[in-house]
Formats: sequence, C-alpha cells, structure tokens
Amino acid sequence: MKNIHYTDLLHDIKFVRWQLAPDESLDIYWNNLIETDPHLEKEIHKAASYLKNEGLNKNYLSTAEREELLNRIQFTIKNKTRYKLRQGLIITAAACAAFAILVVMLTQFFTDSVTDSDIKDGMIVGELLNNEDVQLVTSNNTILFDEDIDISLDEKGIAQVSQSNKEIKKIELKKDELNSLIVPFGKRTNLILADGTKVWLNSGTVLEFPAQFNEKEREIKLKSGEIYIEVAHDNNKPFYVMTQDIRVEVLGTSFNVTSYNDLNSTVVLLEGNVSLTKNGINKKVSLHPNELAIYNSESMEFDKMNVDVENYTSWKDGYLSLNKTPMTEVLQQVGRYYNLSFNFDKGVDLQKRSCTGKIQLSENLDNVMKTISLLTSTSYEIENNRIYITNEID
Amino acid sequence: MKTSSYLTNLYILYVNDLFTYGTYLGFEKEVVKDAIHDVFVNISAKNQILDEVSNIKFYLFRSLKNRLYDIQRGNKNQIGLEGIAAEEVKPFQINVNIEDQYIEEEERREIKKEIEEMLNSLTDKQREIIYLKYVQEYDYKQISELLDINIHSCRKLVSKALSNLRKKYGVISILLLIN
Repeated sequence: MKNIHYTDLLHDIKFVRWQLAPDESLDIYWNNLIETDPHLEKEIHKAASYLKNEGLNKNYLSTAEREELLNRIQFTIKNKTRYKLRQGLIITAAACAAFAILVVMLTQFFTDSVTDSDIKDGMIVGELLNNEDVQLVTSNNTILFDEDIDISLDEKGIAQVSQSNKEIKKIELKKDELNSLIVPFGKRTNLILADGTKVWLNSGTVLEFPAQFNEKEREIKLKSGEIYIEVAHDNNKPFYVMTQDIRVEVLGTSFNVTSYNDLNSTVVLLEGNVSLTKNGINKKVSLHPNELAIYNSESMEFDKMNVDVENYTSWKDGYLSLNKTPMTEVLQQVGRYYNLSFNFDKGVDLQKRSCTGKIQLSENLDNVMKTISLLTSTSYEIENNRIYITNEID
Repeated sequence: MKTSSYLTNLYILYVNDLFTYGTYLGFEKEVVKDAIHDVFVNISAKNQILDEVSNIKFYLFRSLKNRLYDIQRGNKNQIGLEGIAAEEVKPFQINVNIEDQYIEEEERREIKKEIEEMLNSLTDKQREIIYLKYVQEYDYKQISELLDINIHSCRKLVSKALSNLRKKYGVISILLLIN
C-alpha cells in the first residue's frame, strides 16, 4: 500500500467511516496501516482535515455577505450602547497573502470614515496625495528612488538596483549593519536577499534586513506594512520574520506577512510549514497550509481558521482579484496602491455595491477607475487631484 | 463589555461554522443570518459570561440553536431556555462538498455520491450526533445539551449509528490484517 495520496483516502469508504463513525475494528485496521507505512499518517491527517473542514462542514456565506452581516451586527451594537469603537493592534505575518485582504477587512470595520463637508450625498471622493520616494537607508547613507525598483543583493553585500529591468545603481552595503527599505503608499519594491530569498514589498512597508546573514540564522524585521516572501530553503539556517509582537519561523516556504498599523497580527500559510511565537514567549504554534492565525493581543493567543488563500495573493502580481468584494474594500486597496485617500460619507449607497472580476493595477490610474466604474456601475470624474465617484444614473 | 475587536475576531473565526450548523438544522439562509446577528448582539452586552465559558464555540452553537427555534416560534425578543419539541425539528442535512483541486471532476462526483449514500443510511438524529461528535468534536456532555437528551441516550444514539453502518458495509475482518 505505497504512495497513497490523501485524495485516494477520500475515495475509501472505510476511511470516511473511520473519520465519521469510528469503531474498534476500524481503529485497528487504520492504526495497523499507519504502522506499516509512516508516510500514510501525513496523508491521513490531510484527508481528515479536508473532510472535517471542507467536505462536510461547508455551507458558507460569500465574503460580501459575511462582511455585510458583521457590519449589521456592529451597527446594532453601536446603536445600542453608543460604545466607541476602539482600534486594536493587528499585525500580520503570513505564509500566504490571504492575509492582505483580512487586514484590509479588519481595518475597514474599525476605522471611522473621514468626513468632509464638501462631500455631497451619494458620492465618494478620492484625493490624490503627494507622491513620496522609495528610500533605501544604509548605515551611512539614504538613497531615494522616485519609481518602483528591484533590488538584488549578492553574497558580497553589493546591492544592485534596477528600474524596469535596467540597472541604475550599485551600492556596497556594510556586512554587519542593518539596512532599511521604506516603500511609501503608491510604490512597490522587489528585493532579493543575499541567500536568494525573494521578497515583494507592498505599498506602505518598512523592512529591515542585513546585507549578509550570519552563520546560524536568517532574520529580517517587518516594521510595518506587508510582504510576500519566498524563502530559499536551508535546513541549517532557519529564517525568521519578526514583527512588532510576533515571530514567524520557517525553513523554506512561501508566505505573506503584513503589519499595517493598528491591526491584529495575523499569519497565513500558503505551503510548507511555519511556526509562530509571541515575542518573548517560547510556546510555538504551528500553522498548516491554508490556515490563518490571528494574534489576539488581549488573550495573547493565536486563533486559527481555514481560509481560501488564492484570492488574496494577487497583489504581488499587480492585480486585484475580486469576488463580490465590497466597493469600500476595493477602493481601500486601490487607495493604498496609488496613494489615494477616499472619503466615504456614512449614508453613501455606493458602499453597498460589490465587485467581481479582476482589476489590473497599471501605471494609469484612469484605466483602473474605468474598470472599477464598469464593475460597479458607477461613473467617476477626476478634477484637481480629486476623484468623484457617483451613481451611473446620476 | 467586550471590545469590538474581540467580537470581530470571534465572528471571523466562527461565522462559517455557525452558518453551516444553522443551515444543516434545516433553517433558511436569511433566518440563520438573523439568528447569528442576534447571538452576537446578545453576547456583546454580557461581559463576564464569555470569561466563564470554557468553550466559546460551543456556547455560540448552543445560543444559535436556541435562537433559531425562538425565531421559528415567533418569539423574537428573548433567548429562551425551554426545550425543543420533537415536532419542531426539521431533518438534519449535511452538505457534502468535495471541491479539492487535486481531484478530477468526475471523481469528485463519485466521492460525493459515496459519502452521501453513507450519510443517508443514518436517521436525522444519528446524522446530527455524528456531525457534532466527529466533525465538530464535541464531547457527550456538550452534545447532550445541544440535543437536549441525556448523556446515556447520546451514547446509545452513536452506537446505533455505528451499528447501522456496520450492517450496511459489513464488519472489517481483522484476520485479513494480520497477513
């Protein structure tokens, strides 16, 4: 019975019975098989987890419906108690980008909309903010770049900086000192570390990294923002991503870490295996693929759940993949990407609209707004650094 | 008063399980959503209850079930404690959902059919208890509260379900394994 894949197990009614209604003979049967084939145990775990999390326990609401219901609950609670919503601290560290959206989602629920007396009823107004440069801060210098860049470190600590595939600069980094890369809203940067690990830095990110790693371990610090990371495999040198309050430990895998201000820490794993620890505490929590962990700063524990990670990894490839995503959330992500601030009036009906489809995040904001207005049946106008979104019918 | 971020995390963690359970109990989607709304609004006002509850998910399951039957009775204003009469109970239906991307479409249908056939050989009550015990992994004490029957009856119900399946699929020969 070699090379059994977990999907074969789902086909085996003896297995399904063992999971759903185990009796003594089924226990003996399966435990015997596990003994003769240790590889089987892993597949059994996978199959059982699939069956219990997805196969027999899934009648889910769509993302939009879930958010709508949560909004309704919070609205009722707020009206009932006039309790002021407080922002919690959320930091995210993930093995996949499922993270990104969740963070966006959480922020949205707790951030009171900015009000502006200029806003007319039924209108959303976005404002283009001043563009800032990407900054590379080394031990003795700060270098500014006014466009998105790619940085690649070699083993000698030389950073090669290129812009749209053209090399523009070589910078020698000091071996034992930390460097910081600051990516403002509206910009993105790719970084290849000395060990070959690839890091995608999303808008609004500050990352600290050494030019070369030491003998024992590899460590980078996400001060704020969001990264997607593909860690180069090295069994002898664990890789750590530190955020303000948690640590993610991996040997080699792909994952996404976010740490935008004022959000709970969360971690999502795409593949492989990572373990999480609260800074300063030794207890490890391990995370399996497709799992999301939310670090709860009140109980100081991680709460885990299964998520569909695929929908959320698209930011690194330059597009947003939307599935009944509320318009407010879409605009928030677009706002981060282009450094725009959107004002939502509380009564604006537009917020109830949702988007399904893909939005290519190109250089041209006009194209993006065109796509959004098409997907949501709205129209827009750009005037003096402001974007006005209104109902199509108006 | 629990902070709203705590409630939001609870909601994010358990809304799928709660919604699934509500629909498996046979209630309409909108009714289940309303009941989830009421449950969360209700616990937001109860500070210490959540600290005393050892298994918050179980507490939410129980509150949801009670709330669903209250709504069915047209009793909108309070979370009641009275038992649920047998004639109010609808068939407990498990939605078999095989969408794993590593499995071929045709095979998915086959697997779904096989599992459904197995679940259909159980009675409604047996299906519910199997779901609570082996999918949700509640213990007999919790199940007895959810089903409003005593622990002894729970055990009997589970063993009846197991023997139904043995009758259907036969006993696995242990002799076979020794080889």
